[in-house]
Amino acid sequence: MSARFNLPIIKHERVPALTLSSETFLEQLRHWSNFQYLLPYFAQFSCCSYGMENLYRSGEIEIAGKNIFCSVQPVSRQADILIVGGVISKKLSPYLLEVYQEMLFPRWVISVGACASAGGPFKSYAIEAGLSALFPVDVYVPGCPPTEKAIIEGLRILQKRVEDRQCSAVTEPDMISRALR
Amino acid sequence: MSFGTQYKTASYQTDTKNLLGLVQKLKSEFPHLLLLDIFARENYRGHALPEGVSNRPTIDFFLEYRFLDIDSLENINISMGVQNDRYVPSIAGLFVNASWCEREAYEMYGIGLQNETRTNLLTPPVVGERSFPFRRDKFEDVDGPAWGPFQMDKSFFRPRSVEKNAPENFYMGKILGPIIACPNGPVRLLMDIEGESIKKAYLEVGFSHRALEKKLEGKSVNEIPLYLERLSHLAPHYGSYLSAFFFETLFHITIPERAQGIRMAILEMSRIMSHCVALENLFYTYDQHLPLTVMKWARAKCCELFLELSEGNYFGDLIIVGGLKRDIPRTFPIKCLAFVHELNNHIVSVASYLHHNQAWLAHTQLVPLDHHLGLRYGVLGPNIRASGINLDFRKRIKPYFYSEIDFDIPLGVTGTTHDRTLIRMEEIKQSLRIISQVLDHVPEGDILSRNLNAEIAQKMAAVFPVDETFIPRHRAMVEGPEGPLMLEIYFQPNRLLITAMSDLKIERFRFLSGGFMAAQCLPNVLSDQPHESALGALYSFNINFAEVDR
Repeated sequence: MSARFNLPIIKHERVPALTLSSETFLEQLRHWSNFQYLLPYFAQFSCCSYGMENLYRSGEIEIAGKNIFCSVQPVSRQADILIVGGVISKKLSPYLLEVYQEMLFPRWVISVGACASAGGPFKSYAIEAGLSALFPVDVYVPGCPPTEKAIIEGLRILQKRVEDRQCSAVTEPDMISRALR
Repeated sequence: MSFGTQYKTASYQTDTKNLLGLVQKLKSEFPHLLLLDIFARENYRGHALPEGVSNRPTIDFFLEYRFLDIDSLENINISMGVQNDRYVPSIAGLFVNASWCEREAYEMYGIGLQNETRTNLLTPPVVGERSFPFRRDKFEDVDGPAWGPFQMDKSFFRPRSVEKNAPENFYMGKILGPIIACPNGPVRLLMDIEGESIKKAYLEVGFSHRALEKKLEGKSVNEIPLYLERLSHLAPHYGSYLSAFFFETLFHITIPERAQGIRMAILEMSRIMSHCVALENLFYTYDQHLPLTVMKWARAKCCELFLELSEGNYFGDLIIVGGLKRDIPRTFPIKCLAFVHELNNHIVSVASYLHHNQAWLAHTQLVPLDHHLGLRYGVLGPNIRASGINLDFRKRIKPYFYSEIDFDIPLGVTGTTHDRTLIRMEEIKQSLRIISQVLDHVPEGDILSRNLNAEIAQKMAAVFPVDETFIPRHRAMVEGPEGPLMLEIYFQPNRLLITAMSDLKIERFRFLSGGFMAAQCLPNVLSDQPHESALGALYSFNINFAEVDR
């Protein structure tokens, strides 16, 4: 008598296919990694360092209520989020632009404090009237100087916007299509 | 903490021919004479020439020299009228630290000095004609003076060599910055390296130039503390204290005893915070994670206490003319003393940890600051005390309750990076001693002088007479955490009688910190030292580059 085996019946849930074409699959994967792995780099000067100092020196930033990986990068080449705080003088701005151009694609910018956002109280002939004169800025954190919590809140807002595709990231044009070719 | 104003002041007026002779004579008369400051101001009102200076028809600028004799604390001021198209003799041969001040006079006003002023300090090479932003004549009609556009070629980002006439590729070049000294401000350190050692170094500043002195021209004096607090952000309350002290000495106001005691505690907390920044940077550079954790904790705790004191902002404009803006919370002394006790224990353990840490000692017993060199450059504060010079104005002048309080002045021996670190840690311990003694005995009473406004209004008429040609001026210095902080203001002449402080308008604003001279001295200290120690040395001086550039 042959043994009877009752094979377990697996009820497959209806999982929708991620995508049918590889191009959109890579895009979605990339989008997922963008909002799940934040790689900020801090460029901070003067009094805005009050709130940023502990963040800059810590390896990882914890965003409350979010289970995401946010690792602070020591150099701008490995980062995709630039967090700038402090007075941006006209002599400094070319160097800051160089830092921005070295970053990964896609890239986002958080401007911290009144000086980096709009010139602040020191607005004069030697000061850039805001970071947006140099490159596109995604999130402005108010305060003079802002606290640590405010800067983390700025990061959280940026993460949410990236996740919801509300943020127009500066992407390298046709990078994916070039890779597929 | 304050010095200079209550002591004897000698003023001289001279011209370009007699300047060098006068300075030489003063230098031989006072063996320990320090050059504190040189600044220019424009004579745009076309004042009549002071009598006996010279027979020239007009004076375009005044160059003001400020000296201090350390022995007798006597102030020596020299004022010299110069013309736009004439060269001025440089005193950099007699006082080496005059060099940067004179360069500044050239770059901001275009005063031609007979030295190497044409090398750039603040301004990179400009496309087209160089403009002098502090001059008023050219910029009366436009919105603001132009600065730049800068000439951006390869040498802008990657200069070939620090040494001017060095053959190409003779030395290896190394550049640090400008985004290195994060809380201290942006700065660039250019080095020529041969093998391991630095042959020549050059410190490029000006990355956080905010044109504060220009911005405050014509403004009311009420705006000063807002800017000064943000400028000296490593020890924020010294900014507001300097401006408050300036007007208290101008109007001879005595503040209540309770305000004096609380001010002492707040200022010493600020001093601790400034030292914590330096130590944090150093421990981060040399991978000393245990002390780094302690310093991060201490700085965060200081910030927390400041937030509580000034109701939610780090800069609360707490110290105002005549006393304090608000009283401390009742829980503040308890919290502060608990912090003092805890930090004191940590500092003791960190000091012993560093003392036996061979890796730390091998990396940091380098870059000595010779005390002769330091004094020639006018380096003051903890940096010169680490070289063995016993010079602390808190102990010599004894303002407020410093005479009744028991504290020591720690001194170093060789002035290496290790010595500067230990001096800062020891100063933190002494500050903790001062805080604990002050907070135990803070008297009850007012925090603001009674009848302050009436008192000021009464003295205003004597200090600021109605005279369209008379430019009143005043100068104040305080002993900050990193050397002296100096403030000098030339006020606008009055057409009408004024009674309130908000009516006072600024004609020329001058602010200088001790870090300016330390930054000037740093390249000399770095020569023939291993290039790996450069960043640590830069951090150990704890220069606030926001104050240097202004």
